[in-house]
Amino acid sequence: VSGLRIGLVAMSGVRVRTPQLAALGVSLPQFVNRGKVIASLPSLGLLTVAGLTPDDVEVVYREVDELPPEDAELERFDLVGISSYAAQIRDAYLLADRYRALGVPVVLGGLHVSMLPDEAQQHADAVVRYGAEGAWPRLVADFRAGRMKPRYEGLRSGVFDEANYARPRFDLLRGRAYNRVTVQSSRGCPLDCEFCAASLRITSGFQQKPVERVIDEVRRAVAAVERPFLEFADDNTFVNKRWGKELLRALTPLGVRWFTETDVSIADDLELLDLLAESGCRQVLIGFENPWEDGLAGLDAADFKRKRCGRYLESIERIQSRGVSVNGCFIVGLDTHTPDVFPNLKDFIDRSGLLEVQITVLTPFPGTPLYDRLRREDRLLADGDWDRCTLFDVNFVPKRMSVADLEQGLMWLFREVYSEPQYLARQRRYMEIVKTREN
Amino acid sequence: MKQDLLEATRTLVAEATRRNASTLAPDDDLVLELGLDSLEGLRVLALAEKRFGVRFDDAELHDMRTLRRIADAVARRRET
Repeated sequence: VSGLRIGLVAMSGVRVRTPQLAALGVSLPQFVNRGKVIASLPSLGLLTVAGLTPDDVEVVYREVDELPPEDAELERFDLVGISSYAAQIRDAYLLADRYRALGVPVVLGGLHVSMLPDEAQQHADAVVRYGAEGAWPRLVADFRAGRMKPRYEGLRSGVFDEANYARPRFDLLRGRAYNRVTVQSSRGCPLDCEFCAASLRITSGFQQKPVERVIDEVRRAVAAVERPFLEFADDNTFVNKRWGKELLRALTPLGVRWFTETDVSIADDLELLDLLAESGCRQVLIGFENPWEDGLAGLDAADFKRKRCGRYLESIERIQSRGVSVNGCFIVGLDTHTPDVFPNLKDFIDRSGLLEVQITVLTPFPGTPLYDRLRREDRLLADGDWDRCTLFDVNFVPKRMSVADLEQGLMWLFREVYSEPQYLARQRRYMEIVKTREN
Repeated sequence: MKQDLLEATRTLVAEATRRNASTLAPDDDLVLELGLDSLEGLRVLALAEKRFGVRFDDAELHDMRTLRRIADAVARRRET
């Protein structure tokens, strides 16, 4: 070991800001469930950064939910890398400032920082944009040579090519308790929805990892954390159905249980659905966004969702009948939405039989076409107040209703959809499907 | 009888979660100590209903997080 000690700090706690919403989170089962799951996942980005770090450097991986108190002593490193989401970026900047005040150089990276490098630069000695691949090894070498630059740009394509690929350091998770562990099989998504702030914003196109690499990572993740529930940290796993089937066939003998995010087109491929169930997939998260054509027009590049929304109910039934639950995601506050959206969406959800539901408010994350459009239209309520990027707090002026209509309608919908009876009914539906399919 | 039910529950959970039955203690929390995801927890309960021929009260599902509690619930259902 060279004596160099690098700390990699993940700050990924997300809290709703509106007090009434925060109160609902305590009283309603399933509300912000997905947020809690996300917040409890290890940071695959930083585990990948660790994988890109030379072997002779000591890497310490830490997860920080809350900014440590002012008088708390910070763990000392020679260099610290911090990654966070938009909603907690302010805390990440404060932590960075404190480290810098102690004389510890700070590197900031991640999705938010990639979109707003100039903002991040004010709190960092170096900012890494896009993927760490292609940037981090150079940064470490420069740091050792005493010439670390303020800005590094990682790769936006070819991140899974032999020359650039780094296996995430799942071994750093040993000894910690995780219910879920993430593995990535792809980066980006060809749908390119206007609001999406996921990995497609740091890639130049959809990128897929070779199946054997995914399987290797799954094996290592499973070895590091005893029998974890796996979550594929993809934007859309089954873009390529042939590759998807290859992956599913390779996953089946491993006996893992897993979750992923994909699009509704999987319901059109019955062979894929059967393989999905056999491989141990327990849930797919699908962004339906809105079940009506008018709300979906122009939302994604090819009107993919608008063309399929008439078959949403049939698609949900087809997937769930195989024992794979669907976490259906809907967005309220789209430009076509009036206050009628709330009872209409509740009606659709009731009819859908969805086993899990995620309702979020349209959120203008920086770097998205949605943010740019709303800014052009002077419809942002508090531009730059990233604390509001929780997916539950309203930070824009809706087109066909007031801000108050949207906030109150959202609360009403949460109370209806996430009520105890509804939650229990969903649990019961899932159990009955399991009983039908398994012995 | 109760002991038999506890053992049968242990066997079921071991099979459903691919764990060694000898590592499962009656009062281990399936979520906190065994790291079962909530979906997997529900699946275990569904399989328990099927194997033991009972139907749990939906409102008590969230409390059934140990082998003992599952076995007790099965016993209660059989009595009613």
